[in-house]
Parts: sequence; C-alpha cells; structure tokens
Amino acid sequence: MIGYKLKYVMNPKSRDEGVKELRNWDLWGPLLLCLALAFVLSFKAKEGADTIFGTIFVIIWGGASILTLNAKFLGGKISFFQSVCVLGYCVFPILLASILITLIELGIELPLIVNLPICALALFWAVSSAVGFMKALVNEEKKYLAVYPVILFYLSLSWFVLIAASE
Amino acid sequence: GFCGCFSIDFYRPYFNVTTEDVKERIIVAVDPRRNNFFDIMDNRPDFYGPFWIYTTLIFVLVAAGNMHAYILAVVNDWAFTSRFDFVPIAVSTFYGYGVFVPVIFTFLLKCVGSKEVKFADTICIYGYSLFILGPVFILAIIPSSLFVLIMLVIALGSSTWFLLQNYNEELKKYTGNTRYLLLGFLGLAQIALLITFKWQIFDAVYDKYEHYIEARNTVN
Repeated sequence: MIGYKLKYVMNPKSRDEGVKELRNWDLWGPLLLCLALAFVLSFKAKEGADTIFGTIFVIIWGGASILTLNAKFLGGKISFFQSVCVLGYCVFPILLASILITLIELGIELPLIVNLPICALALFWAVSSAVGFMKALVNEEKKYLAVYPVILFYLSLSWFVLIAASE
Repeated sequence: GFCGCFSIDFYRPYFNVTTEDVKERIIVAVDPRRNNFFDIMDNRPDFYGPFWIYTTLIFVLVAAGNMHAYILAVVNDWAFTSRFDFVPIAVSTFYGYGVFVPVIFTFLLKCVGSKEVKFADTICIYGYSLFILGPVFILAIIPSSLFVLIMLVIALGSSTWFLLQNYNEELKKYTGNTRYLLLGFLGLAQIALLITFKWQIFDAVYDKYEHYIEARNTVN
C-alpha cells in the first residue's frame, strides 16, 4: 500500500493510471516520511535540534492541511485526508535529497554549488507530482491559485534541507 | 453545524476569485497612484490574497534574513549559522498586522459614523498593500544596513500612500481631530512594521556575529 503510492509519486509515467488507487488514503506513509525527514535534519544540527524536529512536523502536517483547506475553499471537491495523504507522500524526493547530502557530508564537506542543484532537483520532482494532483481539483480559472501554495510548501521544505546542509 | 466559522462553506465566499482577479488586484496594489482598488474588488473581497501574501512574505523574510547573514559571513570570512529564531516574530507580525490592524481601523471608522466600510474589504486591501514588501525583502539580501533601511522606507511609504489614495474618499468626510486620529492610526501601524522588520530581523543577524565584530574592532 505504501509502496504503491511511493511509486506513483516517484514515477511520472504512472501518474495517469494511478489516480484511482490514491483514494485508499493512509496517513502512515506521510508520518514515516515526516519522521524520517525531521530526524535527518535534526541529526546534523549542533544547537536547536529539537526546534528543527518540531518545526518540520508543524510545516508538513500544518502545511498539507492548509493546502487542502485552500483547495476546498476555492471550490475543490476532495476528501481532506486523501489530499493530505498525497501531499505528504510527495515529500519523498526531498527526504531522499536530505539523506543523500547528509551521508556524503559525513565524509567530505559539500559546497553550495553541489547542494543547490540536488535540492533544486528534489524540489522540482516533488512539485511536479503534487501539482499534477492539485491542478485537477479546482476550476480552470482558479488552477494557479491552488498550485502556487503547493510550490511554496515544497520550496520551504527544500530550503530547510539546503540551510541545514550549508551549516 | 452550530458554529458557522468552522465549516468550509463559511469561507468559500471569501475565495471567490480567479487567477486573473488576483493578478489584477496585485497590479493595482503595487502602483501607489491607483485609487480604484475597491472598484476592481467589485464587492468580492477575498482572503486568499491577504493570507497567501502574508505567508509568502514570512517565507521570503526568513529566507532573505538568512541570505543576508550568509553573505555577511562569506564576505567577512565568519562561520554561518542559520537563524530561525525570527520565524515566530515574522509569523506573529504578519498575521497579527493582517488581522488586527484592518479590524481596528474598520472599527474606528464605524465609530466615527462610516456606513460603507466593511471588515472584509479592509482586510483585503491591507493584504494586497503589503505585496510590495516581497521584492524589497529580496533586495534586502544586500548586506548594507543603510540600503535595507532605505528600501524598507520606500516600500512602506508606497503601501501607505496606496492605502491613503484608496481611503481618500472615505477620509474626506471627516474633519479635524477625527481625521488626524484615523490618519495617525494608519501611519503608526506602518511605522511599527518598519521598525519590526529593520530592528528585529535585519539588524538581529548582526548579534550572532558580535564576537567577530568586536574582535575586528579591537584589532583595529
């Protein structure tokens, strides 16, 4: 169940057939991803590890909820938990980027010029999966109003990863 | 349900805008000469604009503050530490301003007898009036204290002027002390914002670097 949804998020080609399956939402997947990301980011922090851990939780769950509410206010008809579930799963590329950077930095110091493209790629990947899902929820004329906050959400998560990596 | 404000339908009317509407409202708001915001608004005040503008500004402000600190560190060869202690300040400043200032302003106007002013309209226009801070925060990455101050003054001056232009019709109805009270409130709120951004955030990046600055000064 978790594996299927991860495959949906990671593989752009499976997006069209996969949407029906997403109705079986679960919150375990997003919770595991969220815990993993919070753990990896606070692992490196010298001070304020607990703040980072808590902040990631708040951003992911709060952010996903606000994005879902935003889509619903704009007139989208979607189940609250299904939307939170998909947005949570789409954090996966960003988690991969942070694990990659952390593992490499155990050995050598990575300059910004390397970290930035890795985070940018993860961001692009996460956003394109989530936007494909969000776009379909609202009317054509309000499409970008629903999409923009999604970009902001994943941008702030990638930013966290980049900042944590640059310390 | 018994409590309207917890249902989705309560808020739907305030998101009754299209992408084009939002774009148009932003364009009108960054031009301080335009006084037709309420005409464009067409009796459909939205909370989408204010909420997402404030949220974006929080993000841009925290990112810009960190970039400001990073560039300072690179230029001076200091060790960079990320600053997240100003996230709560940024959050409470923007959402606090965005909710309380328009509400209080509308309340004051209603007290002096205004009939047409509405809470939702004021919240809407105040939200869009701060859009101009976005580009300004990005420019404020440049590590010059004076430059940041000048940019903030220009931006807040522009947004204050925009608000004045749009409330001109309304404010003309009052004279003397009432008028000064209203104008004073409007101006004071904006100045409070300026002070918060400049001193709590952009200048605060220097305090983690204090020991470096002191060391440099004693060497000289």
